[in-house]
This record gives sequence, C-alpha cells and structure tokens, in this order.
Amino acid sequence: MQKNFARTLLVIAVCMLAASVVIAQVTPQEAQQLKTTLTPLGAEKAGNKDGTIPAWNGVYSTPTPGFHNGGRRGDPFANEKPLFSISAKNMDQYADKLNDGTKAMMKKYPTYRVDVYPTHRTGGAPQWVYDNTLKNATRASIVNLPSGPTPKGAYGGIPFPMPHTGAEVMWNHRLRWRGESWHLDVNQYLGTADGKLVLSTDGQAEQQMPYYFKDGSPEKWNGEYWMIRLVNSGPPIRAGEAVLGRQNVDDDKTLAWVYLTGQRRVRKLPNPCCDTPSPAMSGVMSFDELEMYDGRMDRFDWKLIGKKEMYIPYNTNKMLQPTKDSAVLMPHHLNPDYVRWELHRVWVVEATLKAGHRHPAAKSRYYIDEDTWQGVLGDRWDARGNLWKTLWTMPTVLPEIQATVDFAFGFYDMSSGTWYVANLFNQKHEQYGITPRWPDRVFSPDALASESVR
Amino acid sequence: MQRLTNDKKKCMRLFILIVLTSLALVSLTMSAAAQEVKTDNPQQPTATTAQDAATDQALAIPAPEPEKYTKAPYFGPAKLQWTTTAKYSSMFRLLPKSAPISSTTSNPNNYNQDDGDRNFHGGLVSDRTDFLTEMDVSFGSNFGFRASAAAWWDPMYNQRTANNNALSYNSNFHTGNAAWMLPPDNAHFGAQTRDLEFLQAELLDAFVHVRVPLGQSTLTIRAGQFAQQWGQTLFFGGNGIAGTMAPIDLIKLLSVPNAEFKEIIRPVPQVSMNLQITPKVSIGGYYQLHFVETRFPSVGSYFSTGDVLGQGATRWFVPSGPTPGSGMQPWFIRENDIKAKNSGQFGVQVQVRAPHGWDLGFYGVQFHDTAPQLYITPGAGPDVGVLSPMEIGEYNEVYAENIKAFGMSASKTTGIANWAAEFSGRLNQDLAASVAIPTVPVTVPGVGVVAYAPAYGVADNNKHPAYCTGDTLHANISTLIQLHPNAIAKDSALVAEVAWNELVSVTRGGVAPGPVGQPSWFAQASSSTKQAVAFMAVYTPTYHQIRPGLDLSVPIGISFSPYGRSVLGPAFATEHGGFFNAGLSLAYRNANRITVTYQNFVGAQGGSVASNNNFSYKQSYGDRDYLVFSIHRTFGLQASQKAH
Repeated sequence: MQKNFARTLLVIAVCMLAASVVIAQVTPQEAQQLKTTLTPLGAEKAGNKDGTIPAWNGVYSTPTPGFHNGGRRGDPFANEKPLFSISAKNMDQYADKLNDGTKAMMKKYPTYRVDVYPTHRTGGAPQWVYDNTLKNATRASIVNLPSGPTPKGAYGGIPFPMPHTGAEVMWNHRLRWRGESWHLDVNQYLGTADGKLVLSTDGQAEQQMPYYFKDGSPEKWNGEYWMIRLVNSGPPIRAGEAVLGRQNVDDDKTLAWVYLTGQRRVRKLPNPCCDTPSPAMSGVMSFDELEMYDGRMDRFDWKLIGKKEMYIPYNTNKMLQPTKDSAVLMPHHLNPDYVRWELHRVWVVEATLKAGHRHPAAKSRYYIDEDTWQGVLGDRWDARGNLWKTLWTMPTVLPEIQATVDFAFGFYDMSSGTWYVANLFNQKHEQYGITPRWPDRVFSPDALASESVR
Repeated sequence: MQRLTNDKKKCMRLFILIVLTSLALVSLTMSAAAQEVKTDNPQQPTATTAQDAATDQALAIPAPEPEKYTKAPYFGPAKLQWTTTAKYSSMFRLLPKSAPISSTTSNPNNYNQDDGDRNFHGGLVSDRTDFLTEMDVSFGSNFGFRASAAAWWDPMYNQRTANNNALSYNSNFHTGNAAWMLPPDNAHFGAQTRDLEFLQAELLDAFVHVRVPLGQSTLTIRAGQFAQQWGQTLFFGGNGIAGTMAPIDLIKLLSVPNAEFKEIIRPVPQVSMNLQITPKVSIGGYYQLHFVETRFPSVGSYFSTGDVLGQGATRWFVPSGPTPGSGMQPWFIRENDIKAKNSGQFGVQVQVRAPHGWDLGFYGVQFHDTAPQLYITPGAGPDVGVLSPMEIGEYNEVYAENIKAFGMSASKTTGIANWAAEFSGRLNQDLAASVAIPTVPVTVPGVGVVAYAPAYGVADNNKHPAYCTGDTLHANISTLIQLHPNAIAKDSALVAEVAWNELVSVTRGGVAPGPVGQPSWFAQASSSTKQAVAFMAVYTPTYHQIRPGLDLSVPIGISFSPYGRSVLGPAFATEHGGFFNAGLSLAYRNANRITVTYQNFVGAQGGSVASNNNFSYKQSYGDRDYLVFSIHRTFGLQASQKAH
C-alpha cells in the first residue's frame, strides 16, 4: 500500500516535471485518455488493487424513489451499514488515509468518529459537460492575472481534467459541475467553544453557475461563474439582511453587494474575499473558507502534491434525513451517526502563503475528490505551524442532475474550539431544489433592493 | 387652535390604537395558523428513503429536466415572519448645565432654548423601554405585505423636572384671565412633551408589495406607508437625495450614537415602482400621498435645544424685558402651522450597472422641506389686545414647498474599500436665515391680521416666502473599508463620509430682499457662509467569540466640521465642532445585545440662536455629554406553508 502510493507519487512527480518543462497543456492524443483509462472528468477509471475502491461505471443517475424536485431528498444508500468505524482508539491503523484535522478531532473529542461505508463512485456529469471537458483539456490554459492564476478558454466542463499544477486542481474545484441553477433554503449554526449551538443564518438563496449554461461558449462567457443571492429570514436579529455576489474567475472583477435593511437600498461590499470574516457566518468563517476554498488565488503558492487514497465524507444523503437540525449536530461537531465516509482517491494540493502577502493560514492542505473535483477536506496551519482549522464539505448525490454536490460545509477550529456548519436542510421542506435558469436580473443589486421589504 | 391640536392628537392616538390592535389580532391568528403549520412539520417532510418509498419504485419517476420545470404559479406558499425587539436603555447626563447654553443673561435668546437643558440634573435622564415589532407576510416572491410598529415608555417624563427658571419655561402656561400673568408650572413636563416621550406608540410600515414579471423585465410596486431612500449618502443624508425623500426622527438621531441616516428616516404614505429593464438598467419612481414633518425632540426633552419648535411648542418669549405685573417676558403665541400640501412630492431614478464595476444612479426629485421656517407676526394672534401686554403677536411653523433636486451618484469597489460619491443640486431650497424672520402685520378685510412680506404681498410657503430661497450644490463622498486582519483586530471596518454644500445663488430674497442672486449678501444677513463642510467616521473593531457565544465590538465615532456655517442650518453641522464617542457592544448568541456608549460633544458652547438672532452654529449640546447603557433582545416567529 505504502509502496503503491509512493510509486504513484513518483509517477506523478515525473509527469509534473515533464509537463512543466514541455507544455502546460494537454495534447489531443493525451486527451484521448479521457475516453479510455480516465473518466470523462479526468479521474482514474479503474478501481484500486485492494478492491476497496471500485472502478467507475458512469455517473449515478438512478432516481431516488419518492423524490420530486423541490421536496426532500432520500438516501440511495440507506440500507448500507458501516464497514468499520475509526476513532481515537484505532486511528493509527488508518493514519495514512486520514487528514490531520480528522485525527486531531478524534484525539480531542472521544465522541468524534469516522464511520466508513462501501465506496460508491457516484460522481460525474451529463454528457454535454463531458464533451466540454474534453474540449477544455486542450483549449484551456492558466494565465497569470494580478488576481492570481486564472483559467482562460475553459467553459461548460471541468477546465483541467488532466491537471499539472495545484492551481489547476483548485480551479477544477471552483468550477466543478453542480447543476446550472438551484434554490437553497438552509440553516447555519455557530458552535461555541463551550458546546452551545447558535443559529447564525436561516437563509434562502438563489444560485446559478453561468459557466454551465448549456448553450454558452468560452467566447460568449464573461468570466462570471457563480451567482449568489442570499436573503436571511432568521435569526430574528438578522431577518431581512441580504447579500448578492457575482463571482468572476478574475477575482478583481468579482462584485458583491449588501442590502441594508431599513433604508431599502444596496451598497457595494468592500473586500468580500480571502481572510475577511464573512458577516453571514457569524464572523468566524472567512470568505475563502466557503465550500472548502473559494478565494483569490494570488496569495498562495499552489503546489500539487499528488493523489492518494483517503477517507472522506461522501454520498452524505443520510445527513438530510432527520427532520431536526439538532439530530445531526452534537456540541462540538457533527453527529458521526449521520456522516458517511468512504474511501476515495483525492488530489492533494498544498497552499503556502507567498512572501509579502498576509493571511492567518500560513500553510493549507486541500483534498479534492477525483471524480467530482469537489474539495472535501482542508487543513489550515497558522504562522506558528499549529493546526488551526479543519474544513469539510458533505458531497451529496443528486441523481436527477447527474451530480454529486457539496451540501453542508463548515470547519472545526482546533485552537479555539469554535465550529461552524453551513447549509443544513433538515428542517426544510425543500432540499436543494433544481430550478429553471434564473434571469440575470435576479442577481442585480436593484432587483435585490426593490424586492426586499425590510 | 390648542383644542384642535388636542382633538387631532386624540384621533391619531385612536387610530394607532386601532391599527395596533388589529395588527395584534392579525398576528395572533397568523401565529396560531403558523403553529399549526409548525406542528405539522415533523410529519410533512415525508421521509423519502429507499425503504419507505419502495412501493413507489414501480412508478420510476423520471428526473425532471431543468428546462421542463413547470412555471411557478403567481402566488406561492404563504410565509410569515414576525420579529419583535425589546430594548431597555438608560442614559446618564455627565455635565451640569452651562451658562452659554442656558443663561438668559449671557444670551437673551436662551429664554427660548434652555428648557431641555434646565429640565435635567446630572445623572439619569432617560429610563426608556422600547418595543419594535415587524411582521412580514408573503405569498411566494410576488406578493406580500408588511407592517411594523413601535412603542415606548420613559417614566422620566412623568416625573418632576429639575427646572429652576419658570420665567424661561415655554410650557404649562396657566389659563384664565388672572392666571395668565403667573409664571408656568416648570416642575412638570409640558402635556404634549409628556405625550410623545412618556408613553407612546406609532405605526411605522404598513404596505403591500407586488412583483409583476413582464417578459425579461420585472416591475415591482409598493404601496402604503414606508420609508425609502436613494443615493449613496451614509451619515449626512440630509445633504443628499436621501434627505429629500423622507422626514427624519431627530430624537433617534440624537439619542442613538452613530446612527446612520437609514435608522432615522420616518415612513411616509406613498406608492413606489421599480422597473428592471435589463439586468443592468432599472428605472424607478415614487409619489408621496401625504406630507409628514421631521420630528424634533419635543420641547423640554433632554435633546431639545429649541423651545419654539416641534411638539410641545406653544409660546415664544420676546426678551424685551419683564412685563409689569407678571415678571415674564411678553410672548408670541404659536398659531396654525403653514403645512406643505400633501401633493407635489415625487421622484424618479435610473440605476445603471456600468462596465468596470461602476454603479451609477441618476435622480430627479421634487419635495417639501420637512423642517420648518418660522414666521412671526407682531400684533397678530387671538388674544392680542385681550391679554396685552403679555401676548404681543403670533408665530407659525412654515414648511417650504416645491423644492427640486437633481443628482447623480457613483460607487465602485477597489481592493478593501468601497467608494461612493453623490452630487446634487437643489432649486428653490429654503435657506437657513435668522430664526426671527421679520414679517410686518397687515390687516386684510375679512381675513384679519396676516403675515405680510413687503416684496410679494401675503407671505406663503411657496412662491411668496418671507424666508430666502436659493440654488444650492451638495456633495457627499463616502467609503466603507473592510480592513485586513491586523494587530488590533481580525475583523474591523471603517466607515467615513465627507459632506459639502454651497449656496450658488439666492433666488428669492424674503422680506428684506437684498440683491437676489448674490450669496454673499445672504451670508452676511444670516451669518451663514457660502460653503460648509463636515465629516464623520466610525471605526469598529470586532472580536468574535471572546468567550463562547460572545462577540465584542468597540465602535469609535468622530464627527467634525472644519469649515463653514451651512445654508442648510446648524442641523448640517456645528462650526468647528461635532462629537466624539466610544462604545462597547457585546452580542451574545446572536440574540442579546448590550451596549455602553460615551458621547462627548465637541465645540464652543452656545445656544442655537445667538443674541443677534442669527443661528450661532455653536455646540448647543455642549453641556449634555452622556453615557448610555442599553440592552436588547430580538424574538422571532417564522412559519411557512409547504410548497404546492
């Protein structure tokens, strides 16, 4: 196993070296691997030698019985039982497949554990996304803008299905397939160091990925990849507050507005980025910690470490089943009974703070799932080298749009004991409703101002 | 007139009572309905696990293609959101009253601007409980209504005052022939002041909102009573387009440290529309149905610096010397206000999201000034002659009509800062003249004695004012900066604004017209300057989770006017003065908040009207530094119907 991994690393290192010397892009011949040994999105098609990771057999699109769009979502793997559990007692046995944050959590809290279930490689996308991904393999490149390394020429698919650099992998995560347009109705909680849970946001959001408009093209696309309009209906103290974001791959062009209750107008939000604490997240989560990582790329050196097999949260539909948020929450972490972990191959990317830039995370390591390009786990170390925060997302199966998408996400702060969980759907009638394309005006500041009433 | 006002007040109170009661009834029924929905909740989200729905498997429902998504009905599921904020605050006066602000010997005009100062010893000056309840009901995203109401109670105003000078007390006059000569009862607050400050409730918002999808564009309509503002001003809204759109609540402005303009605007009955033409261009407009004045601190309340203005104002002492047999100064009695008409207040705006991240706005507004000018008419008044020599004339609050404003704004974010600028010009803006506008009385047969402006004939609040009007320019430049995490705090923000205005030309010269068109003449006659500038900044470092569940922020605010005496009056800024404040605000578990703030007024002290009858532009709050402690909690109830 160890040797296997080392060999993989070596192979990748050699490939990386070759790639960076010769050409950063993929040749049309190499790209053909996306039809043979690799999945259409760039994962290894084959399973692992141990048989613990099966081969990829296409995206999971079996409709969940009883599901109707706009309602609650079922668990396609509800019948399965955990293969085994990992806790502080036996974690050494699995140490090479666990990230530092998970190990630290198990050491700190006897209640924390990892239930490992059979691996299901549900990730994938509709055919047209595969087609675009194949095109992207040869047409997309990274350009260095003042806002950092930025994809160019990519559209409608994974931009770098055969990545050579850490930045490319991070962009695959940021531009992952998760549907075109959807609606969220979610609760978010702050967990305090003394184990109390505080409702931080009860919000309704319209979201859209213009990067994944089926009828678009790289030429017509203006770089805006993710639109967010979030309106708080609770907690009472924050009812009516709203934010609007138009995320651009060139982060210098990202726009955000905040709706000011009382005066019924909007104002541009300064600095919705990086290590700035997000007001929607009780000020404990920074903007770039959203969904593991979503921030400017210019502050860090992105190093691609390679690929490895890891236990990560996956196919976590089980977490959606209880009808009370409290069922999935424990004082200091999520309730392990409802968190499904599986063994998957992940890309490992290390971010080191560049000289002359500031960020409390001097070093970070991110784990990105090979099948979905979903960033699933992340560890952040402070300037003194202490493990500071461990970030996580909960990939959830959405068979009807052929995607496995992160639903809940959050972090555990190892130094302060504070934690945060965003996007819990348990108390909601609707769990990630897929919608027709939102008109662009939905994401305009004036629409927000004229349609808000508080 | 007094009786008439009382009747009106009674009607108003009755109206509020009815509205509040019905609001409460509606909320109760709604909440009962909501409870039902809520209790249904656990069953409603039907478990859709594989086992449970195994029987459905035969159906094998195909996944809906996003493109084939059925069109949502116009009315969606009902949703109720009801929040109530309860707040207790106590305020402590830190300084004794000072001579420049209260002594009638140092400034005879202090007869009419000392009650608020004299009514309070050092120590507790406010002991106030506030409720604000807000209810939103919507049926999907296209239709809904909203209502909100506030109520407050401050027992300080039901107790004895600290006033020691009955001769300068402008409330509680005795009635009846002989009693008229007696000094007023200065041990108690005036009835109207007590009415507003002791125990009161008011309806704030009450409006319906409708959204009409029109192809690719959307029309939103709002009708009812609400407050809104346009433009990019922050603290000095009165200097911008925002100040033309709504009256303000000066009580809140003065008693809530670092209040932003949004917190102090008062709702107005109006209809507004906004048409989103393209994602980047929208056009909006409103028409107001009723004229509502700015709320001044009522006479004799802690923040009142004028005893002849606002609720509770009845007499204006003329400091010409004590009347024989009484010892009191003679007075002008307050007679009917010359209110602005209910029609004629409207505006249009165009918002453009321009390239390179610029947000642009263009505005055109006609409005009536919500703060009054004062007309005095010696020799007029119901009791002149009857009670002479006590009553020697009357005065009126006069609200200028038909002022026009045009403006544009721009906003952009660069790095950690958002910048915004707003420029506007006003035509026919009434100018802050000396308070005592000299009108000469004249008897018109069949009408009686009326104010008379020699230049025009009978003075009014429109084309024939006795005050001056002019064309003015206004600019506000502001920034919101979200600082990078730094040595002081991980989360800190700086909000700052500079405001400037200039008198370009005098278009109407009032009663004693100087050469129209020349601001320098006006400046000389009124003690204002052609230009004035002021700034304000608030820096707020926030410390999250200092204890589990506890966030601390430390807002520090400063406001100063380095130059000028604005033609908009001392409300714009104190010359070479302003304030400094520092606070501690603790938020616990997103529900409770405790705040302590120290407020220090800066600048040379003096009553707002100087002994030469012109505005002094001095710090009339100079001896009213305070410490305010408040605690508040927000409660909420939410319920929603299940979709479809």
